[in-house]
Amino acid sequence: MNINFLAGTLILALTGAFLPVINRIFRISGVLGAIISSVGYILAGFLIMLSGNGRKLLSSFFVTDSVTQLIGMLILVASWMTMLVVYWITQRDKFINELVAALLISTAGALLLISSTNFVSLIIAMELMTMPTYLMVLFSFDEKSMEAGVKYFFNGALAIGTMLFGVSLLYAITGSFNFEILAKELFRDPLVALAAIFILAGFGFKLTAFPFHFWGPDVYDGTCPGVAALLTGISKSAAFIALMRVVYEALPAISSNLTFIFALLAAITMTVGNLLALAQKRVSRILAYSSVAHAGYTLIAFAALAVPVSVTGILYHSVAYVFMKTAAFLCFAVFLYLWGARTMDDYKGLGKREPLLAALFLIFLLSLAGVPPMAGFISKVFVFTSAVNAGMTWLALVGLLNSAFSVAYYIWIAKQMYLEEPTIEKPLNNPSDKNFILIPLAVMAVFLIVLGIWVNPVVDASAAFISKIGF
Amino acid sequence: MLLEADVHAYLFLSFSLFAVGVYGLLSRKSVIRMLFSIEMIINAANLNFVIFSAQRNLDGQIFTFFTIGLAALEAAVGLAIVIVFYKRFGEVIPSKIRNLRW
Repeated sequence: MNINFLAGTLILALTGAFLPVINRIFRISGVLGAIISSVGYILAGFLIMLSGNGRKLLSSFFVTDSVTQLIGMLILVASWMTMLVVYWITQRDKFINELVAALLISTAGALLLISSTNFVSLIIAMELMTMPTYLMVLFSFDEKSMEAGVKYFFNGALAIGTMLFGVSLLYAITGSFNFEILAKELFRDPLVALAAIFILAGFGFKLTAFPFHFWGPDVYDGTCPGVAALLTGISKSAAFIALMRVVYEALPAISSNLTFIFALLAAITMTVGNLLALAQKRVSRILAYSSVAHAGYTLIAFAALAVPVSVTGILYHSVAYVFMKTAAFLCFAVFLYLWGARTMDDYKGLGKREPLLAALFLIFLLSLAGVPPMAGFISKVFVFTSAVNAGMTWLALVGLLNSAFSVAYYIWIAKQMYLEEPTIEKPLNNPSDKNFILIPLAVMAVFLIVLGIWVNPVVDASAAFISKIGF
Repeated sequence: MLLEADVHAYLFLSFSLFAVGVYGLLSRKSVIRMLFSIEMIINAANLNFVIFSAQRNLDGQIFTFFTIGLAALEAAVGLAIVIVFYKRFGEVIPSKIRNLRW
Protein backbone atom coordinates (compact mmCIF):
# COMPACT_ATOMS: atom_id res chain seq x y z
CA MET A 1 0.00 0.00 0.00
CA ASN A 2 1.19 3.44 -0.86
CA ILE A 3 2.05 5.66 2.10
CA ASN A 4 0.10 8.60 0.68
CA PHE A 5 -3.05 6.51 0.33
CA LEU A 6 -2.72 5.30 3.90
CA ALA A 7 -2.18 8.87 5.10
CA GLY A 8 -5.29 10.03 3.24
CA THR A 9 -7.38 7.27 4.81
CA LEU A 10 -6.01 8.06 8.25
CA ILE A 11 -6.75 11.78 7.85
CA LEU A 12 -10.33 10.93 6.91
CA ALA A 13 -10.79 8.62 9.89
CA LEU A 14 -9.12 11.04 12.31
CA THR A 15 -11.28 13.93 11.12
CA GLY A 16 -14.25 11.71 11.81
CA ALA A 17 -12.94 10.74 15.21
CA PHE A 18 -12.22 14.28 16.37
CA LEU A 19 -15.26 16.05 14.95
CA PRO A 20 -17.57 15.08 17.86
CA VAL A 21 -14.79 15.98 20.32
CA ILE A 22 -14.40 19.43 18.77
CA ASN A 23 -18.16 19.81 18.88
CA ARG A 24 -18.30 18.90 22.57
CA ILE A 25 -15.61 21.43 23.49
CA PHE A 26 -16.39 24.39 21.24
CA ARG A 27 -20.08 23.87 20.36
CA ILE A 28 -19.45 24.48 16.66
CA SER A 29 -22.25 25.45 14.31
CA GLY A 30 -23.42 23.26 11.43
CA VAL A 31 -21.59 25.29 8.80
CA LEU A 32 -18.30 25.11 10.67
CA GLY A 33 -18.66 21.34 11.06
CA ALA A 34 -19.25 21.02 7.32
CA ILE A 35 -16.15 23.12 6.64
CA ILE A 36 -13.97 21.03 8.98
CA SER A 37 -15.05 17.76 7.41
CA SER A 38 -14.67 19.25 3.91
CA VAL A 39 -11.07 20.10 4.76
CA GLY A 40 -10.59 16.47 5.78
CA TYR A 41 -12.09 15.29 2.50
CA ILE A 42 -9.96 17.67 0.41
CA LEU A 43 -6.74 16.65 2.16
CA ALA A 44 -7.61 12.97 1.77
CA GLY A 45 -8.47 13.44 -1.90
CA PHE A 46 -5.21 15.30 -2.52
CA LEU A 47 -3.19 12.53 -0.88
CA ILE A 48 -5.06 9.84 -2.84
CA MET A 49 -4.28 11.69 -6.07
CA LEU A 50 -0.61 11.65 -5.08
CA SER A 51 -0.67 7.94 -4.32
CA GLY A 52 0.96 6.99 -7.63
CA ASN A 53 4.43 7.53 -6.20
CA GLY A 54 6.00 7.28 -2.77
CA ARG A 55 7.08 4.57 -0.39
CA LYS A 56 5.19 1.31 -0.04
CA LEU A 57 4.34 -0.44 3.19
CA LEU A 58 2.06 -3.26 4.37
CA SER A 59 2.31 -4.62 0.84
CA SER A 60 1.05 -8.09 1.72
CA PHE A 61 -2.18 -6.61 3.10
CA PHE A 62 -3.12 -3.72 0.83
CA VAL A 63 -2.35 -2.74 -2.73
CA THR A 64 -2.63 0.66 -4.38
CA ASP A 65 -3.17 -0.04 -8.06
CA SER A 66 -5.06 2.01 -10.62
CA VAL A 67 -8.39 0.47 -9.60
CA THR A 68 -7.87 1.57 -6.01
CA GLN A 69 -6.93 5.11 -7.02
CA LEU A 70 -9.83 5.60 -9.41
CA ILE A 71 -12.59 4.03 -7.31
CA GLY A 72 -11.16 5.56 -4.13
CA MET A 73 -11.30 9.02 -5.64
CA LEU A 74 -14.85 8.57 -6.90
CA ILE A 75 -16.07 7.10 -3.60
CA LEU A 76 -14.48 10.03 -1.81
CA VAL A 77 -16.29 12.55 -4.04
CA ALA A 78 -19.62 10.77 -3.63
CA SER A 79 -19.17 10.60 0.14
CA TRP A 80 -18.24 14.30 0.29
CA MET A 81 -21.38 15.29 -1.57
CA THR A 82 -23.43 13.01 0.71
CA MET A 83 -21.87 14.73 3.72
CA LEU A 84 -22.82 18.19 2.43
CA VAL A 85 -26.42 17.20 1.72
CA VAL A 86 -26.77 15.41 5.08
CA TYR A 87 -25.44 18.47 6.90
CA TRP A 88 -27.87 20.71 5.07
CA ILE A 89 -30.87 18.48 5.74
CA THR A 90 -30.29 17.74 9.41
CA GLN A 91 -28.43 20.86 10.53
CA ARG A 92 -30.85 21.49 13.37
CA ASP A 93 -30.34 18.06 14.89
CA LYS A 94 -28.23 17.91 18.05
CA PHE A 95 -26.26 14.83 16.96
CA ILE A 96 -25.46 15.85 13.39
CA ASN A 97 -21.71 15.96 14.07
CA GLU A 98 -21.76 12.39 15.38
CA LEU A 99 -23.63 11.26 12.28
CA VAL A 100 -21.13 12.90 9.95
CA ALA A 101 -18.24 11.49 11.98
CA ALA A 102 -19.63 8.00 11.46
CA LEU A 103 -19.97 8.76 7.73
CA LEU A 104 -16.30 9.79 7.52
CA ILE A 105 -15.09 6.67 9.35
CA SER A 106 -17.27 4.46 7.19
CA THR A 107 -15.81 6.06 4.06
CA ALA A 108 -12.30 5.42 5.38
CA GLY A 109 -13.28 1.77 5.79
CA ALA A 110 -14.57 1.69 2.22
CA LEU A 111 -11.26 3.11 0.97
CA LEU A 112 -9.35 0.38 2.81
CA LEU A 113 -11.77 -2.28 1.59
CA ILE A 114 -11.24 -1.54 -2.09
CA SER A 115 -7.47 -1.83 -1.66
CA SER A 116 -7.23 -4.97 0.45
CA THR A 117 -5.53 -8.05 -1.00
CA ASN A 118 -5.58 -10.24 2.07
CA PHE A 119 -8.47 -11.81 3.90
CA VAL A 120 -7.32 -10.36 7.22
CA SER A 121 -7.36 -6.79 5.95
CA LEU A 122 -10.52 -7.47 3.95
CA ILE A 123 -12.49 -8.51 7.02
CA ILE A 124 -11.12 -5.76 9.25
CA ALA A 125 -11.81 -3.12 6.59
CA MET A 126 -15.29 -4.46 6.02
CA GLU A 127 -16.02 -4.21 9.73
CA LEU A 128 -14.62 -0.70 9.78
CA MET A 129 -16.97 0.18 6.95
CA THR A 130 -20.00 -1.55 8.46
CA MET A 131 -19.72 -0.79 12.19
CA PRO A 132 -20.49 2.95 12.00
CA THR A 133 -23.45 2.29 9.74
CA TYR A 134 -25.07 0.01 12.36
CA LEU A 135 -25.32 3.08 14.57
CA MET A 136 -26.14 5.51 11.75
CA VAL A 137 -29.24 3.52 10.84
CA LEU A 138 -30.66 4.30 14.30
CA PHE A 139 -30.05 8.00 13.86
CA SER A 140 -33.60 9.33 13.60
CA PHE A 141 -34.63 7.40 16.76
CA ASP A 142 -38.17 6.63 15.64
CA GLU A 143 -39.79 3.20 15.74
CA LYS A 144 -39.15 2.35 12.12
CA SER A 145 -35.48 3.17 12.23
CA MET A 146 -35.05 1.08 15.38
CA GLU A 147 -36.61 -1.92 13.78
CA ALA A 148 -34.45 -1.33 10.71
CA GLY A 149 -31.39 -1.04 12.96
CA VAL A 150 -32.02 -4.38 14.67
CA LYS A 151 -32.66 -6.07 11.34
CA TYR A 152 -29.56 -4.56 9.75
CA PHE A 153 -27.33 -5.42 12.69
CA PHE A 154 -28.22 -9.10 12.80
CA ASN A 155 -28.02 -9.53 9.05
CA GLY A 156 -24.65 -7.78 8.93
CA ALA A 157 -23.30 -9.82 11.83
CA LEU A 158 -24.43 -13.07 10.21
CA ALA A 159 -22.72 -11.96 7.00
CA ILE A 160 -19.43 -11.34 8.76
CA GLY A 161 -19.68 -14.63 10.64
CA THR A 162 -20.36 -16.57 7.46
CA MET A 163 -17.48 -14.89 5.70
CA LEU A 164 -15.12 -15.62 8.59
CA PHE A 165 -16.10 -19.27 8.51
CA GLY A 166 -15.37 -19.48 4.79
CA VAL A 167 -12.01 -17.80 5.26
CA SER A 168 -11.15 -20.26 8.03
CA LEU A 169 -11.81 -23.17 5.64
CA LEU A 170 -9.53 -21.58 3.01
CA TYR A 171 -6.88 -21.17 5.71
CA ALA A 172 -7.31 -24.83 6.61
CA ILE A 173 -6.49 -25.84 3.05
CA THR A 174 -3.58 -23.52 2.27
CA GLY A 175 -2.34 -22.02 5.54
CA SER A 176 -2.38 -18.51 4.19
CA PHE A 177 -4.65 -15.48 3.91
CA ASN A 178 -2.84 -13.73 1.07
CA PHE A 179 -4.70 -13.62 -2.25
CA GLU A 180 -1.57 -14.31 -4.34
CA ILE A 181 -0.59 -17.39 -2.35
CA LEU A 182 -4.19 -18.61 -2.30
CA ALA A 183 -4.41 -18.26 -6.08
CA LYS A 184 -1.27 -20.40 -6.43
CA GLU A 185 -2.12 -23.10 -3.93
CA LEU A 186 -5.86 -23.62 -4.31
CA PHE A 187 -7.19 -26.36 -6.56
CA ARG A 188 -10.56 -27.78 -7.51
CA ASP A 189 -11.93 -29.48 -4.45
CA PRO A 190 -15.35 -29.69 -2.78
CA LEU A 191 -14.00 -28.08 0.38
CA VAL A 192 -12.71 -25.09 -1.60
CA ALA A 193 -16.09 -24.74 -3.28
CA LEU A 194 -17.80 -24.87 0.13
CA ALA A 195 -15.50 -22.16 1.48
CA ALA A 196 -16.16 -20.04 -1.62
CA ILE A 197 -19.89 -20.43 -1.12
CA PHE A 198 -19.62 -19.28 2.50
CA ILE A 199 -17.61 -16.23 1.43
CA LEU A 200 -20.01 -15.45 -1.40
CA ALA A 201 -22.95 -15.74 1.00
CA GLY A 202 -21.28 -13.16 3.23
CA PHE A 203 -20.84 -10.84 0.27
CA GLY A 204 -24.38 -11.60 -0.86
CA PHE A 205 -25.72 -10.05 2.35
CA LYS A 206 -23.70 -6.91 1.71
CA LEU A 207 -24.80 -6.66 -1.93
CA THR A 208 -28.44 -7.68 -1.25
CA ALA A 209 -28.17 -10.48 -3.80
CA PHE A 210 -31.17 -12.76 -4.19
CA PRO A 211 -31.54 -15.16 -1.26
CA PHE A 212 -30.29 -12.47 1.13
CA HIS A 213 -32.07 -9.41 -0.25
CA PHE A 214 -34.91 -9.28 2.29
CA TRP A 215 -33.28 -6.90 4.73
CA GLY A 216 -32.29 -4.34 2.10
CA PRO A 217 -35.52 -2.51 1.26
CA ASP A 218 -36.71 -2.57 4.87
CA VAL A 219 -33.53 -0.97 6.11
CA TYR A 220 -33.27 1.58 3.30
CA ASP A 221 -36.90 2.50 3.85
CA GLY A 222 -36.77 2.57 7.63
CA THR A 223 -33.69 4.68 8.14
CA CYS A 224 -33.30 8.35 7.26
CA PRO A 225 -32.59 8.75 3.54
CA GLY A 226 -29.17 10.36 3.91
CA VAL A 227 -27.93 7.19 5.61
CA ALA A 228 -29.67 5.07 3.00
CA ALA A 229 -27.64 6.94 0.35
CA LEU A 230 -24.45 5.85 2.09
CA LEU A 231 -25.63 2.26 2.52
CA THR A 232 -26.87 1.73 -1.02
CA GLY A 233 -24.29 3.74 -2.89
CA ILE A 234 -20.92 3.80 -1.23
CA SER A 235 -20.76 0.66 0.86
CA LYS A 236 -22.34 -1.54 -1.81
CA SER A 237 -20.01 -0.20 -4.47
CA ALA A 238 -16.96 -0.84 -2.28
CA ALA A 239 -18.24 -4.36 -1.58
CA PHE A 240 -18.49 -4.97 -5.35
CA ILE A 241 -14.82 -4.06 -5.78
CA ALA A 242 -13.83 -6.26 -2.83
CA LEU A 243 -15.79 -9.18 -4.30
CA MET A 244 -14.08 -8.57 -7.63
CA ARG A 245 -10.68 -8.83 -5.97
CA VAL A 246 -11.69 -12.01 -4.14
CA VAL A 247 -13.09 -13.72 -7.22
CA TYR A 248 -10.36 -12.73 -9.68
CA GLU A 249 -7.30 -12.65 -7.44
CA ALA A 250 -7.94 -15.32 -4.80
CA LEU A 251 -10.27 -17.92 -6.28
CA PRO A 252 -9.38 -18.40 -9.95
CA ALA A 253 -9.03 -22.14 -9.28
CA ILE A 254 -12.77 -22.73 -9.01
CA SER A 255 -13.99 -19.80 -11.11
CA SER A 256 -15.52 -22.12 -13.69
CA ASN A 257 -17.76 -23.58 -10.95
CA LEU A 258 -18.78 -20.10 -9.81
CA THR A 259 -19.98 -19.02 -13.25
CA PHE A 260 -23.28 -20.84 -13.09
CA ILE A 261 -23.99 -19.76 -9.50
CA PHE A 262 -23.39 -16.13 -10.40
CA ALA A 263 -25.52 -16.38 -13.54
CA LEU A 264 -28.45 -17.89 -11.65
CA LEU A 265 -28.16 -15.36 -8.81
CA ALA A 266 -27.94 -12.48 -11.28
CA ALA A 267 -31.03 -13.53 -13.21
CA ILE A 268 -33.13 -14.09 -10.09
CA THR A 269 -31.87 -10.98 -8.28
CA MET A 270 -32.69 -8.52 -11.02
CA THR A 271 -36.06 -10.09 -11.80
CA VAL A 272 -37.09 -10.08 -8.14
CA GLY A 273 -35.86 -6.54 -7.64
CA ASN A 274 -37.65 -5.14 -10.66
CA LEU A 275 -40.93 -6.99 -10.08
CA LEU A 276 -41.12 -5.93 -6.43
CA ALA A 277 -40.19 -2.35 -7.33
CA LEU A 278 -43.14 -2.19 -9.71
CA ALA A 279 -45.49 -3.11 -6.87
CA GLN A 280 -44.41 -0.35 -4.48
CA LYS A 281 -46.12 2.92 -3.66
CA ARG A 282 -43.40 4.62 -1.64
CA VAL A 283 -40.57 6.22 -3.57
CA SER A 284 -37.90 5.15 -1.08
CA ARG A 285 -38.94 1.51 -1.47
CA ILE A 286 -38.89 1.83 -5.25
CA LEU A 287 -35.33 3.14 -5.07
CA ALA A 288 -34.41 0.38 -2.60
CA TYR A 289 -35.74 -2.41 -4.83
CA SER A 290 -34.07 -0.82 -7.84
CA SER A 291 -30.81 -1.07 -5.90
CA VAL A 292 -31.48 -4.82 -5.52
CA ALA A 293 -32.00 -4.99 -9.29
CA HIS A 294 -28.74 -3.15 -9.90
CA ALA A 295 -26.89 -5.67 -7.74
CA GLY A 296 -28.26 -8.23 -10.21
CA TYR A 297 -26.86 -6.33 -13.19
CA THR A 298 -23.40 -6.30 -11.67
CA LEU A 299 -23.63 -10.02 -10.93
CA ILE A 300 -24.11 -10.55 -14.69
CA ALA A 301 -20.58 -9.25 -15.17
CA PHE A 302 -19.37 -11.56 -12.40
CA ALA A 303 -21.01 -14.48 -14.16
CA ALA A 304 -19.02 -13.68 -17.30
CA LEU A 305 -15.72 -13.89 -15.43
CA ALA A 306 -14.06 -15.98 -18.12
CA VAL A 307 -13.67 -13.01 -20.48
CA PRO A 308 -11.54 -9.91 -19.73
CA VAL A 309 -14.28 -7.40 -20.55
CA SER A 310 -16.19 -8.51 -17.45
CA VAL A 311 -13.69 -6.58 -15.31
CA THR A 312 -14.57 -3.43 -17.23
CA GLY A 313 -18.25 -4.19 -16.73
CA ILE A 314 -17.89 -4.61 -12.96
CA LEU A 315 -15.76 -1.49 -12.58
CA TYR A 316 -17.96 0.66 -14.77
CA HIS A 317 -21.14 -0.44 -13.11
CA SER A 318 -19.70 0.17 -9.65
CA VAL A 319 -18.53 3.63 -10.69
CA ALA A 320 -21.85 4.58 -12.25
CA TYR A 321 -23.77 3.01 -9.39
CA VAL A 322 -21.99 4.91 -6.64
CA PHE A 323 -23.03 8.20 -8.20
CA MET A 324 -26.50 7.50 -9.47
CA LYS A 325 -27.84 5.61 -6.47
CA THR A 326 -26.35 7.91 -3.86
CA ALA A 327 -27.61 10.94 -5.72
CA ALA A 328 -31.09 9.50 -6.26
CA PHE A 329 -31.46 8.83 -2.53
CA LEU A 330 -30.13 12.30 -1.73
CA CYS A 331 -32.67 13.87 -4.07
CA PHE A 332 -35.36 11.87 -2.30
CA ALA A 333 -33.98 13.14 1.02
CA VAL A 334 -34.13 16.75 -0.14
CA PHE A 335 -37.71 16.35 -1.39
CA LEU A 336 -38.62 14.75 1.92
CA TYR A 337 -37.09 17.64 3.82
CA LEU A 338 -38.60 20.40 1.69
CA TRP A 339 -42.04 19.03 0.88
CA GLY A 340 -42.49 15.96 3.06
CA ALA A 341 -42.92 13.86 -0.09
CA ARG A 342 -42.87 10.11 0.56
CA THR A 343 -45.35 8.35 -1.68
CA MET A 344 -46.02 8.51 -5.39
CA ASP A 345 -49.03 10.76 -4.80
CA ASP A 346 -46.90 13.29 -2.96
CA TYR A 347 -44.62 13.55 -5.97
CA LYS A 348 -47.40 14.92 -8.14
CA GLY A 349 -46.43 18.28 -9.58
CA LEU A 350 -43.11 18.60 -7.79
CA GLY A 351 -41.54 19.39 -11.16
CA LYS A 352 -43.39 22.69 -11.16
CA ARG A 353 -42.58 23.46 -7.54
CA GLU A 354 -38.85 22.68 -7.71
CA PRO A 355 -37.82 22.80 -11.37
CA LEU A 356 -34.05 22.50 -10.94
CA LEU A 357 -34.14 19.80 -8.25
CA ALA A 358 -36.68 17.78 -10.22
CA ALA A 359 -34.51 18.06 -13.33
CA LEU A 360 -31.53 16.68 -11.41
CA PHE A 361 -33.67 13.86 -10.01
CA LEU A 362 -34.78 13.09 -13.56
CA ILE A 363 -31.13 12.85 -14.67
CA PHE A 364 -30.39 10.32 -11.94
CA LEU A 365 -33.52 8.31 -12.64
CA LEU A 366 -32.72 8.17 -16.36
CA SER A 367 -29.20 7.09 -15.57
CA LEU A 368 -30.57 4.31 -13.35
CA ALA A 369 -32.82 3.28 -16.23
CA GLY A 370 -29.85 3.33 -18.63
CA VAL A 371 -30.49 6.22 -21.02
CA PRO A 372 -27.54 7.12 -23.30
CA PRO A 373 -25.69 10.26 -22.26
CA MET A 374 -25.36 9.08 -18.66
CA ALA A 375 -22.91 6.58 -17.18
CA GLY A 376 -25.69 4.11 -16.41
CA PHE A 377 -26.02 3.38 -20.13
CA ILE A 378 -22.40 2.70 -20.95
CA SER A 379 -22.00 0.53 -17.86
CA LYS A 380 -24.93 -1.63 -18.94
CA VAL A 381 -23.38 -1.87 -22.42
CA PHE A 382 -20.16 -3.24 -20.94
CA VAL A 383 -22.03 -5.63 -18.63
CA PHE A 384 -24.20 -7.11 -21.41
CA THR A 385 -21.23 -7.26 -23.82
CA SER A 386 -19.31 -9.33 -21.32
CA ALA A 387 -22.24 -11.73 -20.94
CA VAL A 388 -22.52 -12.16 -24.73
CA ASN A 389 -18.75 -12.63 -25.10
CA ALA A 390 -18.79 -15.33 -22.44
CA GLY A 391 -21.41 -17.22 -24.41
CA MET A 392 -24.31 -16.47 -22.08
CA THR A 393 -26.65 -14.73 -24.47
CA TRP A 394 -29.68 -15.83 -22.42
CA LEU A 395 -28.37 -13.90 -19.43
CA ALA A 396 -27.84 -10.77 -21.52
CA LEU A 397 -31.40 -11.13 -22.86
CA VAL A 398 -32.82 -11.47 -19.34
CA GLY A 399 -30.84 -8.39 -18.36
CA LEU A 400 -32.13 -6.41 -21.35
CA LEU A 401 -35.72 -7.40 -20.61
CA ASN A 402 -35.30 -6.37 -16.99
CA SER A 403 -33.74 -3.12 -18.06
CA ALA A 404 -36.76 -2.41 -20.24
CA PHE A 405 -39.12 -3.30 -17.38
CA SER A 406 -37.30 -1.05 -14.97
CA VAL A 407 -37.87 1.99 -17.20
CA ALA A 408 -41.56 1.69 -16.29
CA TYR A 409 -41.24 2.74 -12.69
CA TYR A 410 -38.55 5.34 -13.26
CA ILE A 411 -40.68 6.98 -15.91
CA TRP A 412 -43.68 6.71 -13.60
CA ILE A 413 -41.91 8.90 -11.02
CA ALA A 414 -41.02 11.37 -13.79
CA LYS A 415 -44.61 11.39 -14.98
CA GLN A 416 -45.86 12.13 -11.47
CA MET A 417 -43.40 14.99 -11.18
CA TYR A 418 -44.05 16.68 -14.50
CA LEU A 419 -47.47 15.78 -15.88
CA GLU A 420 -49.71 15.83 -12.81
CA GLU A 421 -51.16 18.75 -10.93
CA PRO A 422 -49.58 19.50 -7.53
CA THR A 423 -51.33 18.08 -4.46
CA ILE A 424 -49.17 19.48 -1.66
CA GLU A 425 -49.96 23.14 -1.14
CA LYS A 426 -47.36 24.33 1.35
CA PRO A 427 -43.73 23.28 1.80
CA LEU A 428 -42.77 21.59 5.04
CA ASN A 429 -39.57 23.60 5.37
CA ASN A 430 -38.65 26.62 3.31
CA PRO A 431 -35.08 27.59 4.15
CA SER A 432 -33.56 30.69 2.56
CA ASP A 433 -30.41 28.95 1.30
CA LYS A 434 -32.38 26.52 -0.80
CA ASN A 435 -30.25 26.90 -3.91
CA PHE A 436 -27.08 25.85 -2.13
CA ILE A 437 -28.21 22.25 -2.02
CA LEU A 438 -28.26 22.11 -5.80
CA ILE A 439 -24.45 22.36 -5.95
CA PRO A 440 -23.54 18.90 -4.55
CA LEU A 441 -26.27 17.23 -6.58
CA ALA A 442 -25.18 19.07 -9.72
CA VAL A 443 -21.59 17.95 -9.14
CA MET A 444 -22.77 14.36 -9.02
CA ALA A 445 -24.82 14.83 -12.20
CA VAL A 446 -21.77 16.29 -13.96
CA PHE A 447 -19.65 13.32 -12.88
CA LEU A 448 -22.34 10.97 -14.14
CA ILE A 449 -22.53 12.63 -17.57
CA VAL A 450 -18.77 13.02 -17.95
CA LEU A 451 -18.20 9.36 -17.07
CA GLY A 452 -20.89 8.43 -19.54
CA ILE A 453 -19.07 10.15 -22.40
CA TRP A 454 -15.40 9.93 -21.41
CA VAL A 455 -14.85 6.21 -20.93
CA ASN A 456 -11.03 6.25 -20.86
CA PRO A 457 -10.29 6.43 -17.09
CA VAL A 458 -12.31 3.36 -16.15
CA VAL A 459 -11.25 1.39 -19.22
CA ASP A 460 -7.59 2.17 -18.56
CA ALA A 461 -7.90 1.14 -14.92
CA SER A 462 -9.58 -2.11 -15.85
CA ALA A 463 -6.93 -2.78 -18.53
CA ALA A 464 -4.24 -2.40 -15.87
CA PHE A 465 -6.13 -4.76 -13.57
CA ILE A 466 -6.62 -7.30 -16.38
CA SER A 467 -2.93 -7.33 -17.19
CA LYS A 468 -2.11 -7.67 -13.48
CA ILE A 469 -4.22 -10.78 -12.99
CA GLY A 470 -2.98 -12.12 -16.31
CA PHE A 471 -5.88 -13.06 -18.53
CA MET B 1 -3.57 -35.54 1.75
CA LEU B 2 -4.17 -32.11 3.16
CA LEU B 3 -5.82 -32.78 6.45
CA GLU B 4 -4.69 -35.15 9.15
CA ALA B 5 -7.20 -37.75 10.30
CA ASP B 6 -7.95 -36.40 13.77
CA VAL B 7 -8.74 -32.98 12.34
CA HIS B 8 -12.07 -34.25 11.17
CA ALA B 9 -13.40 -34.42 14.71
CA TYR B 10 -12.55 -30.76 15.25
CA LEU B 11 -14.04 -29.85 11.88
CA PHE B 12 -17.23 -31.65 12.89
CA LEU B 13 -17.27 -29.63 16.12
CA SER B 14 -16.80 -26.29 14.40
CA PHE B 15 -19.37 -27.08 11.70
CA SER B 16 -21.87 -28.09 14.41
CA LEU B 17 -21.19 -24.88 16.32
CA PHE B 18 -21.74 -22.87 13.15
CA ALA B 19 -24.97 -24.72 12.37
CA VAL B 20 -26.27 -24.26 15.92
CA GLY B 21 -25.45 -20.56 15.72
CA VAL B 22 -27.28 -20.08 12.42
CA TYR B 23 -30.26 -22.05 13.69
CA GLY B 24 -30.36 -20.01 16.87
CA LEU B 25 -30.16 -16.75 14.96
CA LEU B 26 -33.07 -17.73 12.76
CA SER B 27 -35.32 -19.32 15.37
CA ARG B 28 -34.87 -17.36 18.61
CA LYS B 29 -37.15 -14.41 19.28
CA SER B 30 -35.19 -12.52 21.91
CA VAL B 31 -32.46 -10.13 20.77
CA ILE B 32 -30.12 -11.23 23.56
CA ARG B 33 -30.26 -14.86 22.44
CA MET B 34 -29.63 -13.74 18.89
CA LEU B 35 -26.48 -12.00 20.13
CA PHE B 36 -25.38 -15.29 21.72
CA SER B 37 -25.87 -16.99 18.37
CA ILE B 38 -23.69 -14.39 16.63
CA GLU B 39 -20.95 -15.13 19.15
CA MET B 40 -21.28 -18.85 18.41
CA ILE B 41 -20.89 -18.29 14.67
CA ILE B 42 -17.79 -16.15 15.11
CA ASN B 43 -16.31 -18.59 17.60
CA ALA B 44 -16.85 -21.49 15.22
CA ALA B 45 -14.57 -19.68 12.80
CA ASN B 46 -12.11 -18.95 15.62
CA LEU B 47 -11.98 -22.63 16.52
CA ASN B 48 -11.12 -23.47 12.91
CA PHE B 49 -8.37 -20.88 12.82
CA VAL B 50 -6.75 -22.18 15.99
CA ILE B 51 -6.99 -25.86 15.04
CA PHE B 52 -5.43 -25.39 11.65
CA SER B 53 -2.90 -22.95 12.99
CA ALA B 54 -1.46 -25.86 15.00
CA GLN B 55 -0.79 -27.68 11.74
CA ARG B 56 0.10 -24.83 9.40
CA ASN B 57 1.65 -21.69 10.83
CA LEU B 58 1.05 -18.96 13.38
CA ASP B 59 -1.02 -16.72 11.08
CA GLY B 60 -4.26 -18.30 12.17
CA GLN B 61 -3.66 -17.64 15.85
CA ILE B 62 -2.76 -14.03 15.14
CA PHE B 63 -5.92 -13.59 13.12
CA THR B 64 -7.87 -15.11 16.01
CA PHE B 65 -6.84 -12.18 18.18
CA PHE B 66 -8.24 -9.81 15.55
CA THR B 67 -11.43 -11.85 15.42
CA ILE B 68 -11.86 -11.85 19.20
CA GLY B 69 -11.59 -8.07 19.16
CA LEU B 70 -14.05 -7.96 16.33
CA ALA B 71 -16.51 -10.13 18.24
CA ALA B 72 -16.19 -7.84 21.25
CA LEU B 73 -16.91 -4.83 19.04
CA GLU B 74 -19.87 -6.63 17.55
CA ALA B 75 -21.22 -7.41 21.04
CA ALA B 76 -20.72 -3.81 22.20
CA VAL B 77 -22.59 -2.33 19.24
CA GLY B 78 -25.25 -5.02 19.48
CA LEU B 79 -25.87 -4.36 23.16
CA ALA B 80 -26.04 -0.61 22.51
CA ILE B 81 -28.74 -1.25 19.93
CA VAL B 82 -30.55 -3.57 22.36
CA ILE B 83 -30.50 -0.90 25.09
CA VAL B 84 -31.97 1.73 22.75
CA PHE B 85 -34.57 -0.78 21.61
CA TYR B 86 -35.51 -1.70 25.18
CA LYS B 87 -35.79 1.93 26.26
CA ARG B 88 -38.17 2.59 23.42
CA PHE B 89 -40.38 -0.49 23.40
CA GLY B 90 -39.96 -1.94 26.89
CA GLU B 91 -39.08 -5.39 25.56
CA VAL B 92 -36.37 -7.15 23.58
CA ILE B 93 -38.48 -9.19 21.16
CA PRO B 94 -38.43 -7.50 17.76
CA SER B 95 -41.00 -9.76 16.11
CA LYS B 96 -43.73 -8.21 18.27
CA ILE B 97 -43.12 -4.86 16.63
CA ARG B 98 -43.94 -4.94 12.97
CA ASN B 99 -43.87 -1.67 11.12
CA LEU B 100 -41.74 -2.95 8.27
CA ARG B 101 -42.72 -6.04 6.41
CA TRP B 102 -40.32 -8.35 4.64
